[in-house]
Amino acid sequence: MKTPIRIFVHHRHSLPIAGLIRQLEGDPRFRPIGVSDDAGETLRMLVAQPADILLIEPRPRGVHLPEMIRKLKEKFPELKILPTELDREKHLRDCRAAGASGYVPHNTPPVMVLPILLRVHQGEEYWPKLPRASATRRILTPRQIEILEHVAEHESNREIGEKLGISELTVKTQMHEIQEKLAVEGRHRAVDCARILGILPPL
Amino acid sequence: MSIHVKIVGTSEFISGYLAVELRRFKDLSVSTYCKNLTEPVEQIIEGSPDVLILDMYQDGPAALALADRVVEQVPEAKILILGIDDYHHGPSAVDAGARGHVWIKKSATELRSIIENIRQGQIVCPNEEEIREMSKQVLEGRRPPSPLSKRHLRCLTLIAKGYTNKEIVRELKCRPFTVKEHIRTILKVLKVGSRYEAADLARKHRWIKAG
Repeated sequence: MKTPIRIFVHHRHSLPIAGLIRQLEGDPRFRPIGVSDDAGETLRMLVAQPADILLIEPRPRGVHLPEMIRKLKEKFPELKILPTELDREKHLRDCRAAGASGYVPHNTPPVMVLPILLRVHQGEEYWPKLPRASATRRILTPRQIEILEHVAEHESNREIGEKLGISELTVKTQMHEIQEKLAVEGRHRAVDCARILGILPPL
Repeated sequence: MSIHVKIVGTSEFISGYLAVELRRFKDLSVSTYCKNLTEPVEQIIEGSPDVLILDMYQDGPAALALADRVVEQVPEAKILILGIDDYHHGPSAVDAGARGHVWIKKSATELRSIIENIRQGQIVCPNEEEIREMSKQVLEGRRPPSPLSKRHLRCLTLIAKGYTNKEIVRELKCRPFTVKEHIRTILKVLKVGSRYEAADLARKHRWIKAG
């Protein structure tokens, strides 16, 4: 019999993740070897016992996910890293560039997760399209969310305009509309408000 | 007799695995419904579940609004809100008409007994002490060391809340010059260009509380 695929899970939502572990334990092709929600602990545990695939939450506490992927790939080149529930185009691109093997979208039911793990273990990549945004996110247009993401990175209107290929004035007009829709004054309050509403991810 | 639990949420990954975890209790019959939280109430309560679990994944406000809509139409509906990232939403969940709020860090056994209590008509909401304990677990217990002093962090906490210099002066009971000096030092130590960047950086590293 083939040796089972060793899976490590880094995720803070311990209740559903217990369900994932239960599913893996019930399948002889897989062997869950650990769960953690602390970057340091994950690293220590991976050094002590190597894994084939790491499933990792979209925003691990205290670290920048693409950076963490890059570091892990340097240390464990053989390790396949699969972020779960990515929800932004930029985040997805950054994770891909950092060496992730794919991702598990949030609209993936449990029955589809094991086949994805098998494919990735065989060397395939898995990059489906991002699922549709939630109802609250649709308060703003995708372009407005994109602009707000740049504002959250502390870029000026001019910088944002240059990056998106639109004029500074357009950015300014859009910012006005964003503030009107969110009923706040000031770009930083708009970002804070968007974070509270879940339009932008929490810090 | 088994308890019919229906999990409603936007993430099939999270709701799906929550169902997997709950199905190990033989007396629960668990179904999931993952769509937009703006679906008509008839769809949500279809199959007349004994307890409806709404998960706040990705869209907390929509989950609360949905609880409100369901209770308006079906006052006897028993809704349990599952807090994902926010462990302090208990009171607003009950305000919206839910019978309770449970945090995703609870064990399946605890969730199982909360479901039973809610089915019997109780209201289950974490009290203040429990909320404090949870926030401590999430934030305080693991707050990493920062290069800033306590006073600077206090100042930065206020900046993160959107306070102006004048308001900070009032809060910290110091001179306007001192606040300016504090901010200058903070920017220098963190090597950033603006007070908002400093606040974001501090929140990212969890030197100060988020939100």
